[in-house]
Amino acid sequence: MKPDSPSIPVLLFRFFRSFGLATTVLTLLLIVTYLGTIEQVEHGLYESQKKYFESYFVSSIDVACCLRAMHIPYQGTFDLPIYILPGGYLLMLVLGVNMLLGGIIRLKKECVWLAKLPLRVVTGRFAELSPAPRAVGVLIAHMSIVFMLFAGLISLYFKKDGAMRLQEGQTSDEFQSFHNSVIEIERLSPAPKDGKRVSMVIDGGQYQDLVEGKGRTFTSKTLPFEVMVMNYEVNCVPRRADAQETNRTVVENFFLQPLKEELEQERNTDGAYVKVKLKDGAEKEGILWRFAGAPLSVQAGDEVWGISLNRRAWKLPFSVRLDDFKREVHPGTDKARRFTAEVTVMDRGNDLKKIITMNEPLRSRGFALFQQSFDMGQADDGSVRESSTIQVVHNPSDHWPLISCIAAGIGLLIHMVWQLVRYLRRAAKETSALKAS
Amino acid sequence: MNLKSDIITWKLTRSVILLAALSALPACKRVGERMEITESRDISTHAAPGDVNATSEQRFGPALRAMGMEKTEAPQGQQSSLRDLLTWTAPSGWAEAPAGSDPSGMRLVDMRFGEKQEGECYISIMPGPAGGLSANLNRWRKQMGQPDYTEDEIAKLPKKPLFKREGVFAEFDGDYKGVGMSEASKGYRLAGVIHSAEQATIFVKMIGPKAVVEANAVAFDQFCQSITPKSIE
Repeated sequence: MKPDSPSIPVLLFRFFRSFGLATTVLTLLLIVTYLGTIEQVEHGLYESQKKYFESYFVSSIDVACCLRAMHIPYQGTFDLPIYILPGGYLLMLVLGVNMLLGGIIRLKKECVWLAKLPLRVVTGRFAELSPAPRAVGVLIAHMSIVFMLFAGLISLYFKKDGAMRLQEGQTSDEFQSFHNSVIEIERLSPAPKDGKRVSMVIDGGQYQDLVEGKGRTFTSKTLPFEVMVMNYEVNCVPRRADAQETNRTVVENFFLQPLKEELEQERNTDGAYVKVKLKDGAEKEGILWRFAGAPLSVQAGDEVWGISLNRRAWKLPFSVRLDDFKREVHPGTDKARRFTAEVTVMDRGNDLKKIITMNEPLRSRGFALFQQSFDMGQADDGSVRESSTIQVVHNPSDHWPLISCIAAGIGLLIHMVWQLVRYLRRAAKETSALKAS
Repeated sequence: MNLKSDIITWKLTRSVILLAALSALPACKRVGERMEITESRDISTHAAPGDVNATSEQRFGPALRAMGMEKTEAPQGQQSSLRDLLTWTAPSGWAEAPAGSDPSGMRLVDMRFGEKQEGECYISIMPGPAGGLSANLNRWRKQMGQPDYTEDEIAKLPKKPLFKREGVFAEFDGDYKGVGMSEASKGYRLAGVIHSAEQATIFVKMIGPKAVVEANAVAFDQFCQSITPKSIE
């Protein structure tokens, strides 16, 4: 029997490589980018990024906010629940597949030519390079776009971005995330004999949904108790119950007062209530807050455990000591001219003196350390002590977008020159034919 | 033929839906009641060990004071001495704002209210007529992105009791851009009473998201009526 229609895999292949799909995805990306950009005016960069660009589907569109961002005076609220608009993550995945099938695999001749190019150049067989297939430039441009999308994926999953706050004379080898919240549980007493402190970590994704009365119990075989985390607040502050009337749970005269969420997500100070249940059945309630000066202590037999809510900490492969912080201002003003952190990098037994200043980061072993901000405080002896906040970034695909842009530029240039040469040749042929006739 | 094409289209659609569902699968997280802790990390040797058996006061007090969320001592200067001359009663659910919250430094009494403390109400006093009633009302109008009141409109504004006297009450909606704010807060309502006299002008201003201010309208009236100079009592 003669097949009169293509099979499903063939249909799928045609669908995913089609130019129509590329056009649709790019149009949707344009819409998503536009909505995400204008919604960030009221929802902040972090929230918009999560909702529009790091999602499979966009859950809702704040139409009222979008109207206001476009200077249309609408004061009401209008949240349009919508799950049919694909998010940036899904769109970029589809675009990547589309580019791969339609822009790379389709150009078989060009792929083979490009694959053999390095060997031919190294062995000096330049004659075999000609004739070059005509869409080599297009292939390079498509490959660059796929590479850029891949760089974005790597950055999304593996980029670490945080800050390290150091007082003058202080040393550290870890930095804290700007956004990721964690609850850590550590045995405080007796301290480990070998000095190696270890904490158990509950990722923010496992408790940040526990709002308005919701709770979840976390257990571990190595813990002498179980912890129920409840009533998580994105931005809050402990308040004294004797100073303010409240219907919230009060623990040791404190309760968590929720605050309006900040547009800059890193400025929020999150908190939660916990209920600890010991193995003998005894219970203890407590409050966790990100800026608490000490962990919540839990006595379990002879041991004391500490529970704290922090930003996720990452280790550096070296230690940094802040030796001196210098703040230079323009003469007669308070306007900053230059902030400089003089640091010592202690790496594999070597002490290296380095400078981190504005626009001149310190780069070492894949990490970039930027001077971010500074603070002045009073030491115990009354002297002024300066501290520096150093932004630490570790991104394996840091320079990949730049490489991809350059490659795409080269590809398009090759294609343009190719087309120009073809046009000129054809024009010359037509002119000579006209002359001959 | 049509039937066959319909079947192929359905199969294709089903495959695309299945693919989309499979790709969305990692985003779904099971919300269970109990969860095992599986992650751990080595703590830096440079990190200070946590205080053992610290009380809530020791855990939160220093940070709240360092962040200006709690007052360490009574504020100094003219504003504090003026503040000492007043008495007031905070309505239920209202609380004094943490130290350092006042962007202008002009607030004698600075209250916060609302589920997330997004509403503000404060008392300020200026010597003399402070530019006059019209200039002050229109300053508020400007902060809300509204056109100036005309003299007729001002004359028709209602009166409310304040400071054992009568004050002019104004209430309007808009986008609020107060002192030190880089961007306007949308959908806000301002309600305020001004009592202007030769010796001094007293302002009570409530500002916040429209729904929050609306819900606290009665509390605002109670607060205004409770403000009295100490010598009167």
